[in-house]
Amino acid sequence: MSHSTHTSSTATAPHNTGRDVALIAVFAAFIAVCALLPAFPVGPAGVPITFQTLGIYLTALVLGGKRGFLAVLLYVIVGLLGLPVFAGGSGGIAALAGPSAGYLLAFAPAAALTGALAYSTLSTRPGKSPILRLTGAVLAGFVLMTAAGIAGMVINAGISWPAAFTAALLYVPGDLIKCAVAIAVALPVHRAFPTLSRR
Amino acid sequence: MNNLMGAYSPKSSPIHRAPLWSKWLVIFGITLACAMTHTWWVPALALMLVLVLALMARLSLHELGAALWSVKWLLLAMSLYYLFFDKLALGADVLLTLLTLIFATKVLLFTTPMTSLIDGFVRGCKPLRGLGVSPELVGLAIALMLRSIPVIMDRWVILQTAVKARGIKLSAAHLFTPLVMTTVAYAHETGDAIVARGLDSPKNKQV
Repeated sequence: MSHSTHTSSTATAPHNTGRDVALIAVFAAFIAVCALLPAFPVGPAGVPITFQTLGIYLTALVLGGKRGFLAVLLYVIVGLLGLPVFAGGSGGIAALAGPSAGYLLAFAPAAALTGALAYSTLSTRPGKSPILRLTGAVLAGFVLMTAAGIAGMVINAGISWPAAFTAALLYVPGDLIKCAVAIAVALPVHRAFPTLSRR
Repeated sequence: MNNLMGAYSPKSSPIHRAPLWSKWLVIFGITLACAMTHTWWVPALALMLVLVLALMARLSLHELGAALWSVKWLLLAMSLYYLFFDKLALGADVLLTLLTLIFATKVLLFTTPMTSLIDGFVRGCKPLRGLGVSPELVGLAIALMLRSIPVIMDRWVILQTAVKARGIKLSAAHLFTPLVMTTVAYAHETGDAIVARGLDSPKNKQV
Protein backbone atom coordinates (compact mmCIF):
# COMPACT_ATOMS: atom_id res chain seq x y z
CA MET A 1 0.00 0.00 0.00
CA SER A 2 2.67 2.50 1.01
CA HIS A 3 4.81 1.40 -1.92
CA SER A 4 2.14 2.24 -4.48
CA THR A 5 1.46 5.70 -3.02
CA HIS A 6 5.19 6.39 -3.05
CA THR A 7 5.64 5.61 -6.74
CA SER A 8 2.59 7.62 -7.77
CA SER A 9 3.84 10.71 -5.95
CA THR A 10 7.36 10.54 -7.43
CA ALA A 11 6.01 10.28 -11.00
CA THR A 12 4.78 13.43 -12.73
CA ALA A 13 1.40 12.99 -11.00
CA PRO A 14 -0.78 12.06 -13.96
CA HIS A 15 -3.75 11.61 -11.68
CA ASN A 16 -3.99 13.63 -8.51
CA THR A 17 -7.03 12.56 -6.45
CA GLY A 18 -6.57 15.37 -3.91
CA ARG A 19 -6.61 18.07 -6.57
CA ASP A 20 -9.56 16.46 -8.35
CA VAL A 21 -11.63 16.27 -5.14
CA ALA A 22 -10.82 19.92 -4.42
CA LEU A 23 -11.73 21.01 -7.96
CA ILE A 24 -15.02 19.08 -7.81
CA ALA A 25 -16.00 20.47 -4.39
CA VAL A 26 -14.92 24.06 -5.09
CA PHE A 27 -16.73 24.13 -8.44
CA ALA A 28 -19.88 22.73 -6.84
CA ALA A 29 -19.63 25.74 -4.52
CA PHE A 30 -18.98 27.97 -7.54
CA ILE A 31 -22.29 26.86 -9.13
CA ALA A 32 -24.05 27.57 -5.83
CA VAL A 33 -22.57 31.10 -5.78
CA CYS A 34 -23.65 31.62 -9.42
CA ALA A 35 -27.21 30.53 -8.55
CA LEU A 36 -27.33 32.82 -5.50
CA LEU A 37 -25.91 35.94 -7.18
CA PRO A 38 -28.66 38.53 -7.64
CA ALA A 39 -30.63 37.68 -10.78
CA PHE A 40 -31.12 40.44 -13.27
CA PRO A 41 -34.50 40.88 -14.98
CA VAL A 42 -34.43 40.44 -18.76
CA GLY A 43 -36.89 41.47 -21.43
CA PRO A 44 -40.22 43.25 -21.22
CA ALA A 45 -41.72 40.60 -18.92
CA GLY A 46 -38.76 40.91 -16.55
CA VAL A 47 -38.13 37.16 -16.39
CA PRO A 48 -35.29 36.87 -13.87
CA ILE A 49 -32.23 35.23 -15.38
CA THR A 50 -29.87 33.68 -12.86
CA PHE A 51 -26.30 32.57 -13.44
CA GLN A 52 -27.07 28.98 -12.39
CA THR A 53 -26.75 27.44 -15.85
CA LEU A 54 -23.76 29.67 -16.64
CA GLY A 55 -22.06 28.12 -13.62
CA ILE A 56 -22.87 24.65 -14.96
CA TYR A 57 -21.53 25.34 -18.48
CA LEU A 58 -18.37 26.90 -17.01
CA THR A 59 -17.82 23.96 -14.67
CA ALA A 60 -18.16 21.53 -17.58
CA LEU A 61 -15.79 23.51 -19.85
CA VAL A 62 -13.18 24.08 -17.14
CA LEU A 63 -13.21 20.64 -15.46
CA GLY A 64 -14.07 18.34 -18.39
CA GLY A 65 -16.60 15.51 -18.54
CA LYS A 66 -15.84 13.37 -15.49
CA ARG A 67 -14.93 16.01 -12.92
CA GLY A 68 -17.58 18.36 -14.33
CA PHE A 69 -20.23 15.66 -13.98
CA LEU A 70 -19.22 14.96 -10.37
CA ALA A 71 -19.12 18.67 -9.44
CA VAL A 72 -22.62 19.28 -10.83
CA LEU A 73 -23.89 16.05 -9.25
CA LEU A 74 -22.52 17.19 -5.86
CA TYR A 75 -24.24 20.57 -6.28
CA VAL A 76 -27.60 18.95 -7.14
CA ILE A 77 -27.37 16.42 -4.27
CA VAL A 78 -26.53 19.06 -1.67
CA GLY A 79 -29.41 21.19 -2.99
CA LEU A 80 -31.86 18.28 -2.83
CA LEU A 81 -30.73 17.52 0.73
CA GLY A 82 -32.06 20.96 1.64
CA LEU A 83 -29.24 23.48 1.40
CA PRO A 84 -30.71 26.59 -0.29
CA VAL A 85 -28.33 26.58 -3.28
CA PHE A 86 -30.76 26.34 -6.20
CA ALA A 87 -31.66 29.43 -8.24
CA GLY A 88 -33.51 31.95 -6.12
CA GLY A 89 -32.23 30.45 -2.86
CA SER A 90 -34.48 27.39 -2.82
CA GLY A 91 -33.52 23.85 -1.90
CA GLY A 92 -34.95 20.55 -0.79
CA ILE A 93 -36.44 17.42 -2.25
CA ALA A 94 -39.62 19.31 -3.27
CA ALA A 95 -37.69 20.61 -6.29
CA LEU A 96 -38.22 17.18 -7.85
CA ALA A 97 -42.01 17.66 -7.72
CA GLY A 98 -41.92 21.04 -9.46
CA PRO A 99 -42.18 21.66 -13.20
CA SER A 100 -38.46 22.44 -13.50
CA ALA A 101 -37.38 19.00 -12.21
CA GLY A 102 -36.35 17.96 -15.74
CA TYR A 103 -33.76 20.72 -15.93
CA LEU A 104 -32.44 19.82 -12.48
CA LEU A 105 -32.01 16.13 -13.30
CA ALA A 106 -30.34 16.96 -16.64
CA PHE A 107 -27.74 19.32 -15.13
CA ALA A 108 -25.18 16.59 -14.38
CA PRO A 109 -25.59 14.56 -17.64
CA ALA A 110 -25.42 17.81 -19.64
CA ALA A 111 -22.21 18.76 -17.86
CA ALA A 112 -20.76 15.32 -18.63
CA LEU A 113 -21.62 15.70 -22.33
CA THR A 114 -20.37 19.28 -22.67
CA GLY A 115 -17.24 18.59 -20.63
CA ALA A 116 -16.29 15.43 -22.52
CA LEU A 117 -16.76 17.11 -25.92
CA ALA A 118 -14.83 20.20 -24.80
CA TYR A 119 -11.89 18.23 -23.41
CA SER A 120 -11.64 16.08 -26.55
CA THR A 121 -11.10 19.33 -28.48
CA LEU A 122 -8.74 20.92 -25.98
CA SER A 123 -6.45 17.91 -25.68
CA THR A 124 -6.29 16.68 -29.30
CA ARG A 125 -5.95 19.80 -31.45
CA PRO A 126 -3.91 22.34 -29.54
CA GLY A 127 -2.97 24.34 -32.65
CA LYS A 128 -6.38 25.13 -34.10
CA SER A 129 -8.82 27.60 -32.61
CA PRO A 130 -11.24 25.53 -30.54
CA ILE A 131 -14.06 28.09 -30.45
CA LEU A 132 -16.24 26.37 -33.05
CA ARG A 133 -16.02 22.95 -31.40
CA LEU A 134 -16.47 24.41 -27.91
CA THR A 135 -19.63 26.10 -29.15
CA GLY A 136 -20.83 22.72 -30.36
CA ALA A 137 -19.99 21.18 -26.96
CA VAL A 138 -21.94 23.81 -25.03
CA LEU A 139 -24.89 23.68 -27.43
CA ALA A 140 -25.05 19.87 -27.05
CA GLY A 141 -25.40 20.30 -23.28
CA PHE A 142 -27.93 23.08 -23.80
CA VAL A 143 -30.08 20.92 -26.12
CA LEU A 144 -29.98 17.98 -23.66
CA MET A 145 -30.99 20.25 -20.78
CA THR A 146 -33.82 21.88 -22.71
CA ALA A 147 -35.19 18.54 -23.95
CA ALA A 148 -35.18 17.12 -20.41
CA GLY A 149 -36.69 20.35 -19.11
CA ILE A 150 -39.60 20.13 -21.56
CA ALA A 151 -40.14 16.44 -20.75
CA GLY A 152 -40.09 17.30 -17.04
CA MET A 153 -42.81 19.93 -17.47
CA VAL A 154 -44.99 17.47 -19.40
CA ILE A 155 -44.49 14.61 -16.91
CA ASN A 156 -44.57 16.58 -13.65
CA ALA A 157 -47.12 19.28 -14.40
CA GLY A 158 -49.22 17.53 -17.07
CA ILE A 159 -48.70 20.50 -19.39
CA SER A 160 -49.19 19.79 -23.11
CA TRP A 161 -46.05 19.40 -25.26
CA PRO A 162 -46.63 22.64 -27.26
CA ALA A 163 -47.20 24.65 -24.06
CA ALA A 164 -44.08 23.19 -22.44
CA PHE A 165 -42.11 23.95 -25.61
CA THR A 166 -43.30 27.57 -25.51
CA ALA A 167 -42.38 27.88 -21.84
CA ALA A 168 -38.88 26.53 -22.57
CA LEU A 169 -38.47 29.05 -25.42
CA LEU A 170 -38.62 31.88 -22.85
CA TYR A 171 -35.22 30.82 -21.53
CA VAL A 172 -33.52 30.16 -24.87
CA PRO A 173 -32.21 33.69 -25.62
CA GLY A 174 -30.77 34.11 -22.13
CA ASP A 175 -29.24 30.65 -22.23
CA LEU A 176 -27.59 31.24 -25.61
CA ILE A 177 -25.95 34.37 -24.19
CA LYS A 178 -24.77 32.31 -21.22
CA CYS A 179 -23.29 29.71 -23.62
CA ALA A 180 -21.27 32.46 -25.35
CA VAL A 181 -20.10 33.95 -22.03
CA ALA A 182 -19.08 30.47 -20.78
CA ILE A 183 -16.82 29.92 -23.82
CA ALA A 184 -15.36 33.44 -23.62
CA VAL A 185 -14.47 32.83 -19.96
CA ALA A 186 -13.28 29.21 -20.25
CA LEU A 187 -10.67 29.87 -22.98
CA PRO A 188 -8.48 32.30 -20.97
CA VAL A 189 -8.89 30.08 -17.90
CA HIS A 190 -7.41 27.13 -19.82
CA ARG A 191 -4.59 29.38 -21.05
CA ALA A 192 -3.86 30.45 -17.48
CA PHE A 193 -4.04 26.87 -16.13
CA PRO A 194 -2.79 24.62 -18.95
CA THR A 195 -2.45 21.64 -16.60
CA LEU A 196 -6.22 21.46 -16.11
CA SER A 197 -6.91 19.69 -19.40
CA ARG A 198 -3.64 17.71 -19.40
CA ARG A 199 -4.65 14.38 -17.92
CA MET B 1 -27.69 33.41 1.85
CA ASN B 2 -29.12 34.54 5.17
CA ASN B 3 -29.52 30.99 6.45
CA LEU B 4 -27.16 28.77 4.48
CA MET B 5 -27.28 26.09 7.15
CA GLY B 6 -30.98 25.51 6.58
CA ALA B 7 -34.21 26.31 8.38
CA TYR B 8 -33.61 24.04 11.39
CA SER B 9 -35.27 25.10 14.61
CA PRO B 10 -34.35 23.15 17.75
CA LYS B 11 -37.58 22.24 19.51
CA SER B 12 -38.91 19.36 21.54
CA SER B 13 -41.42 17.45 19.45
CA PRO B 14 -41.98 13.83 18.42
CA ILE B 15 -41.02 14.77 14.85
CA HIS B 16 -37.75 16.33 16.05
CA ARG B 17 -36.97 13.13 17.94
CA ALA B 18 -37.92 10.76 15.10
CA PRO B 19 -34.92 9.04 13.47
CA LEU B 20 -33.81 10.41 10.11
CA TRP B 21 -34.62 7.22 8.17
CA SER B 22 -38.26 7.35 9.28
CA LYS B 23 -38.58 10.90 7.90
CA TRP B 24 -37.14 9.87 4.54
CA LEU B 25 -39.38 6.81 4.52
CA VAL B 26 -42.50 9.00 4.96
CA ILE B 27 -41.33 11.42 2.24
CA PHE B 28 -40.58 8.63 -0.24
CA GLY B 29 -43.87 6.90 0.59
CA ILE B 30 -45.81 10.11 -0.02
CA THR B 31 -43.90 10.86 -3.23
CA LEU B 32 -44.49 7.35 -4.55
CA ALA B 33 -48.21 7.42 -3.68
CA CYS B 34 -48.69 10.82 -5.35
CA ALA B 35 -46.65 9.89 -8.43
CA MET B 36 -48.31 6.51 -9.03
CA THR B 37 -51.89 7.72 -8.82
CA HIS B 38 -53.71 10.21 -11.03
CA THR B 39 -56.53 11.27 -8.76
CA TRP B 40 -56.67 14.48 -6.78
CA TRP B 41 -57.74 12.86 -3.50
CA VAL B 42 -54.52 10.89 -2.93
CA PRO B 43 -52.35 14.05 -2.76
CA ALA B 44 -55.17 15.73 -0.79
CA LEU B 45 -54.92 12.99 1.87
CA ALA B 46 -51.11 13.22 1.77
CA LEU B 47 -51.32 17.00 2.22
CA MET B 48 -53.54 16.55 5.29
CA LEU B 49 -51.08 14.00 6.73
CA VAL B 50 -48.14 16.39 6.16
CA LEU B 51 -50.05 19.29 7.75
CA VAL B 52 -50.76 17.14 10.82
CA LEU B 53 -47.04 16.29 10.99
CA ALA B 54 -46.22 19.99 10.62
CA LEU B 55 -48.48 20.86 13.57
CA MET B 56 -46.90 18.04 15.61
CA ALA B 57 -43.48 19.48 14.78
CA ARG B 58 -44.72 22.84 16.17
CA LEU B 59 -44.29 24.64 12.88
CA SER B 60 -46.20 27.93 13.04
CA LEU B 61 -48.76 28.96 10.43
CA HIS B 62 -46.52 31.92 9.69
CA GLU B 63 -43.66 29.61 8.66
CA LEU B 64 -45.94 27.44 6.53
CA GLY B 65 -47.25 30.59 4.87
CA ALA B 66 -43.69 31.74 4.17
CA ALA B 67 -43.00 28.42 2.41
CA LEU B 68 -46.03 29.03 0.19
CA TRP B 69 -45.13 32.67 -0.41
CA SER B 70 -41.69 31.73 -1.79
CA VAL B 71 -43.33 29.83 -4.68
CA LYS B 72 -46.27 32.18 -5.23
CA TRP B 73 -45.45 33.03 -8.87
CA LEU B 74 -44.99 29.38 -9.81
CA LEU B 75 -48.31 28.43 -8.18
CA LEU B 76 -50.06 31.40 -9.81
CA ALA B 77 -48.73 30.61 -13.30
CA MET B 78 -49.64 26.92 -13.00
CA SER B 79 -53.12 27.67 -11.63
CA LEU B 80 -53.82 30.06 -14.50
CA TYR B 81 -52.73 27.42 -17.01
CA TYR B 82 -55.07 24.76 -15.60
CA LEU B 83 -57.97 27.22 -15.34
CA PHE B 84 -57.44 28.53 -18.85
CA PHE B 85 -57.25 25.06 -20.44
CA ASP B 86 -60.06 23.72 -18.23
CA LYS B 87 -57.96 20.87 -16.74
CA LEU B 88 -59.20 21.28 -13.20
CA ALA B 89 -58.83 17.64 -12.03
CA LEU B 90 -55.30 17.41 -13.43
CA GLY B 91 -54.44 20.82 -11.94
CA ALA B 92 -55.72 19.79 -8.51
CA ASP B 93 -53.62 16.59 -8.65
CA VAL B 94 -50.43 18.44 -9.70
CA LEU B 95 -50.79 21.43 -7.36
CA LEU B 96 -51.77 19.33 -4.32
CA THR B 97 -48.76 17.05 -4.96
CA LEU B 98 -46.47 20.08 -5.22
CA LEU B 99 -47.89 21.64 -2.02
CA THR B 100 -47.52 18.31 -0.18
CA LEU B 101 -43.86 17.99 -1.14
CA ILE B 102 -43.14 21.66 -0.34
CA PHE B 103 -44.59 21.28 3.16
CA ALA B 104 -42.94 17.88 3.66
CA THR B 105 -39.56 19.47 2.78
CA LYS B 106 -40.32 22.30 5.19
CA VAL B 107 -41.08 19.84 8.02
CA LEU B 108 -37.91 17.84 7.28
CA LEU B 109 -35.66 20.92 7.26
CA PHE B 110 -37.41 22.44 10.29
CA THR B 111 -36.93 19.33 12.44
CA THR B 112 -33.52 18.10 11.21
CA PRO B 113 -30.18 19.95 11.40
CA MET B 114 -28.43 20.24 8.01
CA THR B 115 -25.42 18.42 9.46
CA SER B 116 -27.57 15.37 10.30
CA LEU B 117 -28.97 15.33 6.77
CA ILE B 118 -25.45 15.42 5.31
CA ASP B 119 -24.16 12.76 7.72
CA GLY B 120 -27.15 10.59 6.82
CA PHE B 121 -26.36 10.95 3.13
CA VAL B 122 -22.70 10.04 3.64
CA ARG B 123 -23.78 6.95 5.65
CA GLY B 124 -26.20 6.10 2.84
CA CYS B 125 -23.25 6.03 0.42
CA LYS B 126 -21.59 3.14 2.26
CA PRO B 127 -23.38 0.36 0.32
CA LEU B 128 -22.06 1.99 -2.88
CA ARG B 129 -18.45 1.30 -1.87
CA GLY B 130 -18.45 -1.72 -4.18
CA LEU B 131 -19.18 0.59 -7.12
CA GLY B 132 -16.06 2.63 -6.38
CA VAL B 133 -17.79 5.33 -4.32
CA SER B 134 -15.74 6.33 -1.29
CA PRO B 135 -18.06 7.67 1.47
CA GLU B 136 -15.03 9.36 3.09
CA LEU B 137 -14.29 11.34 -0.08
CA VAL B 138 -18.00 12.18 -0.50
CA GLY B 139 -18.09 13.57 3.04
CA LEU B 140 -14.85 15.48 2.45
CA ALA B 141 -16.22 16.93 -0.82
CA ILE B 142 -19.48 18.10 0.81
CA ALA B 143 -17.60 19.72 3.72
CA LEU B 144 -15.20 21.42 1.28
CA MET B 145 -18.09 22.66 -0.86
CA LEU B 146 -19.92 24.22 2.13
CA ARG B 147 -16.70 25.87 3.26
CA SER B 148 -15.97 27.21 -0.24
CA ILE B 149 -19.30 28.98 -0.83
CA PRO B 150 -18.51 31.98 1.44
CA VAL B 151 -14.91 32.05 0.14
CA ILE B 152 -16.02 32.41 -3.49
CA MET B 153 -18.72 34.92 -2.48
CA ASP B 154 -15.98 37.00 -0.80
CA ARG B 155 -13.78 36.89 -3.89
CA TRP B 156 -16.72 38.05 -6.02
CA VAL B 157 -17.23 41.03 -3.70
CA ILE B 158 -13.47 41.80 -3.78
CA LEU B 159 -13.50 41.80 -7.60
CA GLN B 160 -16.48 44.15 -7.71
CA THR B 161 -14.87 46.48 -5.18
CA ALA B 162 -11.61 46.51 -7.15
CA VAL B 163 -13.46 47.48 -10.33
CA LYS B 164 -15.44 50.16 -8.52
CA ALA B 165 -12.31 51.58 -6.87
CA ARG B 166 -10.74 52.11 -10.30
CA GLY B 167 -13.85 53.83 -11.64
CA ILE B 168 -14.28 51.26 -14.43
CA LYS B 169 -17.71 50.27 -15.67
CA LEU B 170 -17.66 46.53 -16.41
CA SER B 171 -20.58 44.18 -16.80
CA ALA B 172 -20.90 41.18 -14.53
CA ALA B 173 -20.01 38.92 -17.47
CA HIS B 174 -16.51 40.46 -17.67
CA LEU B 175 -15.90 39.73 -14.00
CA PHE B 176 -16.51 36.03 -14.52
CA THR B 177 -13.07 35.44 -16.08
CA PRO B 178 -11.12 36.62 -13.02
CA LEU B 179 -13.68 34.95 -10.74
CA VAL B 180 -13.19 31.53 -12.37
CA MET B 181 -9.40 32.00 -12.34
CA THR B 182 -9.33 32.79 -8.64
CA THR B 183 -11.69 29.84 -8.08
CA VAL B 184 -9.34 27.43 -9.89
CA ALA B 185 -6.36 28.82 -7.97
CA TYR B 186 -8.22 28.39 -4.68
CA ALA B 187 -9.14 24.80 -5.64
CA HIS B 188 -5.47 24.03 -6.41
CA GLU B 189 -4.36 25.41 -3.02
CA THR B 190 -7.05 23.35 -1.32
CA GLY B 191 -6.06 20.26 -3.31
CA ASP B 192 -2.43 20.61 -2.27
CA ALA B 193 -3.54 20.98 1.36
CA ILE B 194 -5.58 17.77 1.03
CA VAL B 195 -2.62 15.86 -0.42
CA ALA B 196 -0.28 17.25 2.26
CA ARG B 197 -2.57 15.84 4.94
CA GLY B 198 -3.04 12.51 3.16
CA LEU B 199 -6.82 13.00 3.10
CA ASP B 200 -7.04 11.96 -0.55
CA SER B 201 -6.43 8.28 0.22
CA PRO B 202 -8.66 7.48 3.21
CA LYS B 203 -8.28 3.76 2.42
CA ASN B 204 -4.75 3.84 3.81
CA LYS B 205 -6.01 5.19 7.11
CA GLN B 206 -8.78 2.75 7.64
CA VAL B 207 -8.49 0.76 10.84
